[in-house]
Amino acid sequence: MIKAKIAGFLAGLIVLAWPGRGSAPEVIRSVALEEVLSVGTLDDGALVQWTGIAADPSGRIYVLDALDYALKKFDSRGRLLLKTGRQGQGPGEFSAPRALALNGDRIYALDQSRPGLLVFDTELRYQGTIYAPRPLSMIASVSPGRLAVAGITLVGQPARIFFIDREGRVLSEFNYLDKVEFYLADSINTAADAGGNLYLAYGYQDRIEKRDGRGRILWTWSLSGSAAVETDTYRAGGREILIPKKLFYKDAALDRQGHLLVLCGGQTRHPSRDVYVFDLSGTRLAMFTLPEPSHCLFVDDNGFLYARANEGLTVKKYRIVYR
Amino acid sequence: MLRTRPFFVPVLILCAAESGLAAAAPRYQCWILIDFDAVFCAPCLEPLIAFCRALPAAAQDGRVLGIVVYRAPASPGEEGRRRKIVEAKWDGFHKAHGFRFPAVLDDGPVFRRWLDKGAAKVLFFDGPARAIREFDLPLRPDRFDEMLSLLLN
Repeated sequence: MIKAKIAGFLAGLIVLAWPGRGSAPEVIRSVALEEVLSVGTLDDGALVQWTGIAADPSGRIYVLDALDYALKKFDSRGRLLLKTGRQGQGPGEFSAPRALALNGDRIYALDQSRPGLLVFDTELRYQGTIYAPRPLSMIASVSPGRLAVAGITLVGQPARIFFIDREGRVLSEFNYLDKVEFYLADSINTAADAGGNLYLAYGYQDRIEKRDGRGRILWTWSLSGSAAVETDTYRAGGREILIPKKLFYKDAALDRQGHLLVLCGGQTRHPSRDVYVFDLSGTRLAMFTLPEPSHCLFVDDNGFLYARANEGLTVKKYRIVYR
Repeated sequence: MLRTRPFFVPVLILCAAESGLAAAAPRYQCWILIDFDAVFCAPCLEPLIAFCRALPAAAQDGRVLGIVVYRAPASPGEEGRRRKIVEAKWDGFHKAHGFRFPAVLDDGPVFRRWLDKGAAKVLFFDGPARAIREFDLPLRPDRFDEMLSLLLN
């Protein structure tokens, strides 16, 4: 009887301490970044303007360099191991490289000037191209053998996310916007959790949302609480084009502790530096500020955060310390 | 204040051109003005790359000069760092494309005024006509041919 009571008491403690649905939000008093590595200096020529980044579990770093038109591989100490690519439209060449994803032993590189994805192995050998009907704007690694991509969408058309396998076969798809109302409305930055849920931070709308693998919205969040979008009107070729005025969110990433990190654009005190920390049920827990403006935010499997410094000449790697 | 390096840039000739006076031909006939803070987006970059690549090597050597215009940071202590960043990025981009022409950096107001309508443009010193011609990028093929014939003759 006493044993049963003790067991029940312990079980109650575990339930109280276990973070889950209905539990009180985690409290984060502060977030500190400890720099652990810096890749690329002002004069070593290692990087010119990096855009996409990924890292493997051993700490090797893969970087797309937009102004050097190259994919580069660095070891865990930041030494350049390999480089491939040049400016062009041929096999393994780049024109406007923007983002990449590492999935298993393959690297998927997104070039906004050409439809589809360029595929490399981890020794940076070009493996081929996964063709798509239009250039892509987003790629995220979801799980082994499964990626999420979105294409650049014309105004008036529905914006879709596609789940693809490692060969590029479409596994499923859903609309995340039924209709693109203005230029760049479809701009999203995406992170994926182990359960196959996607976290979408819209570039030019004040909107962050969580969707399940079928596209159903699980929660939404906005800074201002308003869905209104301010636009400017331009006339080109006899047509009116609506261009958004404000950049809201630049990137999204998940850390190992179960936090969603969202890099803000120009609507907070430190443009391109402020990062919101959410729990996975959409409660904002904290904010921290990167030392320098960044266009992207990446967290590797070991929980290290990567961001830009020196306007793209440098990758900074940080340990995130939550207190 | 105009600051450039490593070449001396004859500001007086530009001032003369703006006031409608004739200009003597400078050492570099063709100046490519580039707004460093605006040019690195795909729609701006493509016409610049296309123009630079179309310039024959013979024309680039000694006749073409890039002028990379950038904004100095508001905080004085950051000036040197910003200049190094601009230099390193331009150098990397320059090498990636194999451009041959030299370039200078400038954070003054003179050249920035010429870039009010685009991220890059070309100023061409037309000696026989005693005038400075201004070309916006992308160049129409006939205007490119015209400029090239002036440059090579």
